Amino acid sequence: MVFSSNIFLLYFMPIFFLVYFILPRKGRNYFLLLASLVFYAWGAPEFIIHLIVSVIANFYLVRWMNKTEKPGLKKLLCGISIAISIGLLFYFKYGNFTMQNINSVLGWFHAEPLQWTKILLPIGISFFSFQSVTYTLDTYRKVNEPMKRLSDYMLYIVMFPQLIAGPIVRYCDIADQIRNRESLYTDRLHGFYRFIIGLCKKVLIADVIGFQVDQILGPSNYDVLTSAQLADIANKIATIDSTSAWIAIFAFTFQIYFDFAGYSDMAIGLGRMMGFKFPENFDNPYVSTTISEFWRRWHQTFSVFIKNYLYFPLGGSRVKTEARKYFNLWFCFLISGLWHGAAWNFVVYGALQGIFICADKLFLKKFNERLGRIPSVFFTFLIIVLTRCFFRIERIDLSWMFIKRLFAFDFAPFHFSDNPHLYVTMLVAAFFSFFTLSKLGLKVQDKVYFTDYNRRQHIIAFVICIFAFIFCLGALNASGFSPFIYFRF
Amino acid sequence: MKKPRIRYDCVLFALLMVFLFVPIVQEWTSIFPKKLLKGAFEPTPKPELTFDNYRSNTYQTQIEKYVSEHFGLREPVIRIYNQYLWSAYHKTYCHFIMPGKKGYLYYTVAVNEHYGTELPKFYSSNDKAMADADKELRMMNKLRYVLKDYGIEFVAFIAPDKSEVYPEYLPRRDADTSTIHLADYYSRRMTETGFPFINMTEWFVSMRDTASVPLFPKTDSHWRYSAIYGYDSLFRFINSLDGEAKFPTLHIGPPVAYESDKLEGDEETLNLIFPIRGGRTKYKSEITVEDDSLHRKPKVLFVGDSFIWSMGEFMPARQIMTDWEIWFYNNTATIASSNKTESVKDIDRLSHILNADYVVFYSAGHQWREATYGFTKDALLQLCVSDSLFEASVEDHTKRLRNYEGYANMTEEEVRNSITWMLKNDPELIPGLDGEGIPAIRNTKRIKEALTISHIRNDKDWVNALNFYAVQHTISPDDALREEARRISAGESPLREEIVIDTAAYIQMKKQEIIKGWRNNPDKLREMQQKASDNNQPLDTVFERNARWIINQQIEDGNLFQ
Repeated sequence: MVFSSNIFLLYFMPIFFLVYFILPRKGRNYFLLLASLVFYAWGAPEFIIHLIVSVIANFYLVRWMNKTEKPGLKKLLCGISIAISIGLLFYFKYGNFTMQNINSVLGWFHAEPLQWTKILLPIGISFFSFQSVTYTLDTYRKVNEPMKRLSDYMLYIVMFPQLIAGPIVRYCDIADQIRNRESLYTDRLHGFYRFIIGLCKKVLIADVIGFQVDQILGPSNYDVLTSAQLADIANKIATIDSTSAWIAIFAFTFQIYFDFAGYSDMAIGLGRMMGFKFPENFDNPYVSTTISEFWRRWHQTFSVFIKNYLYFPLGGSRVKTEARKYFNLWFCFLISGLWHGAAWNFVVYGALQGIFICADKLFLKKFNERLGRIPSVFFTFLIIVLTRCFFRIERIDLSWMFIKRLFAFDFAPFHFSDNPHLYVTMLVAAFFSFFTLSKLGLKVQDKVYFTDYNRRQHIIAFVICIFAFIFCLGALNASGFSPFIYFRF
Repeated sequence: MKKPRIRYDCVLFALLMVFLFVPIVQEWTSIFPKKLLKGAFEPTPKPELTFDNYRSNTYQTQIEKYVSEHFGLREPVIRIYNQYLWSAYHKTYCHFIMPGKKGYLYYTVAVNEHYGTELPKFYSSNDKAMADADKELRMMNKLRYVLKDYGIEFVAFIAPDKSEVYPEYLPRRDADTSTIHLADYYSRRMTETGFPFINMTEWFVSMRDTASVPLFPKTDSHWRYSAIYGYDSLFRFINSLDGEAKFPTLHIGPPVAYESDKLEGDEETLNLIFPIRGGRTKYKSEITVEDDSLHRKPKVLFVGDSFIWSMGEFMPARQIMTDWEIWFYNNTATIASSNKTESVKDIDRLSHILNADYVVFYSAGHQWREATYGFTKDALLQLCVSDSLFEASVEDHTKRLRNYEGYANMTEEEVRNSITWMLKNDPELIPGLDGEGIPAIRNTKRIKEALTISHIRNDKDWVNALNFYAVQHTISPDDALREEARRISAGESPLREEIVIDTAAYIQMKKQEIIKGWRNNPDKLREMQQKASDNNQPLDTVFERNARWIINQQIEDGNLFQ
């Protein structure tokens, strides 16, 4: 189920919150768990059993791991637990990709290809697998005690606000809240406001821009396309004029941010309505002055995960040689790229990010500092935009062809009147993306997101959000229905 | 005592919960009267929840779609967003309407056609498009000469495109100047081949600056008031041909402007809250029909697009024509005399064609790619090719093509079906219809029968008697007509002589037929059940009363037997 779907907005959410708040406190977690399973089962009926079985297995493995005093067994159980989570992720997400590549290699040697039935990707597997890993490792490292009840652990993994597209909530961040949390009326209202902000980002900005991006670049998921459709996309890209190409890639850069940040806002908002304090996932990433800063601001919970559970175990920056340090950094970003999708374009995307991060450490950061804040923000933004080509266009040859078209200087005249809705929405997106470059912007952001409101402010926010909700409902149903981009990852 | 303080956050939260439930409550109870959005769409049926549907995600996808079409307050919510899009950007999600400058509305396809971007979607080159047009026109000319044998004139008119008449308000688009415009091509070729037609686009363009009223409304892509001039010209043009029946002379009074809140068709489909500015002024004229006792008023079969519908609104059609039919896109037939709309494929097409004095094909310029919506091919087959000849042609082609690569993996039946389809789409493959010349072959037996049917149709008492017979024997009125024609052709005594109309029995039978139809129609059945529950009456009583009401209406209108 998608937050921006009619089923969720008109039925699931009202009924869930009504029952949730009517129930006595001790019943709420059970109801939330039940609702979360329904939520997942609605969208992924084939995988709900996999999810439940893997969660149960992991719970008992970790409990056993925690109880045992034998360090060897402890390590083994930790390994098995992680292997289950990562193994499932690998099997479902990278199985097709791996077999495809093996068969390509076999093809070079004129060998028979291996038989393989294509498997479907369970939604959200990249997110809940990582949460399982944090649970296992945080318990192993004694950061937190394991959950006493299976239902609590299950709730941590499958809680519907963050089940399918994050934020990736580390076990240590939420362990206490699962059993003890308070949901004040103001929290419920603030949660609702945050949810509506996210809904607006998704429906009024990302979807509007995304529709046009798809018009220019074709659908984003090439797996479902026929060869004729792919040929059509290739033809479009080969003949695109530079103006349209730049508009498309800028538009996609805004689309992906507002889509994903919108989802995160909705998840954080829903959590807050129930009294959970989920970690923030975005901190104005497009005002970053360097690529390193960008990754500290973009999909923060993922970056924290990679840092704590991959970069540090690799040795982080405390390694013997500089070369190893840079390799660790680059490797982490390579894996990050691959996490986004099982395709070579994502590998290239990750590798490029890694190269820019290393370049940051070597010279780019200093260069940006000399440029000054505003120019370096736009320089960094330009790098982000260009690397997004490999993210959006799921074939490396086409991505490269697209980049060539960007720099072909074959500019067609720009006419605002051709699509004012798109251009105005892009301007709005740009405004909010760079809003916090100013102190005033930061102040406003803090006020809107992180400060408690007084009575008057609550009433104003409430009325605005009610209207925004109606407006988004209209937008959703007038223009059709679109799922979130990050569901695929 | 201290007054307890009302917690505003608690109140706001309670209000929020109430608000979240408003759509559900509205959907279940319809507290506010439900209004539908305008515009045609294929409604999603309520999906059935089965394990297989659920597992394959079909149920979830369909229910989401179903909910988006039925949720409470859908209509106002969508109108709010549409109004925002329109007011801020002049944008609409209605895909077949393209807003132009200053709020002018155009047909999307017509705009594409104007800029030369429509044809390349269907043809890889102009030559191919022109070859298809030539072929169609060749068949139109063949049909024209065949129809002439039965005293029927086949004419055409190219209805004007708003995009050509008022191009200054078109939205900006990149034009493909290398693409031809098929309406222009047809116009040129019809002139060259002598096919009778009028190109109203050219005429409207020439008079747009001098006309006293706008030739197209701002908010519709169809002609409205100016259709009067179009139809009048068509009638005059037809009268100039050698047909026996003539249209009477019309005297069109000066246009009178008036304000109306009724939205034009295209504006309606935008589903806005507020009407578009400048779209309220409408025009009408008094039209008097000059009596012409020298000539019979014609029967006309119109085949084409929506440009004929203004006839009913602006013209005294019943005073101008004896009878007329509109075959909308050659798909649905609206028959004036019986006030019925049926699927074209369900009627006896040949008898309907032969019943007319004039067959008029018309279409707006941008739609001439699809001329004549399959009518010409079908009419040629009906008029010229007997069943036996068609079968023989299928047989012959099957023998010749059976071993071709494309048919290799097909069963015998699939090959035959494929060839049948091919011959229906290209009748010139049938011997006798091929080549450039006028076809000499005729479907004589069927034509004779059709002419008899046509003759019967013009006798109201005869038709009534046959309708009574049809209801009595639970067959369709067309079957009764065909049986009568068969009897006459075979020299048997006509059914008419055996039928004694018992009106009371007819009413009873008709009532049962209506009720049976309702029972088999889930929507109607639901509506009746709702009525029964609202009025606290048994369902049978509601059926009975409603059927009786319809019959009473028919008696009042004098068409009980139709």
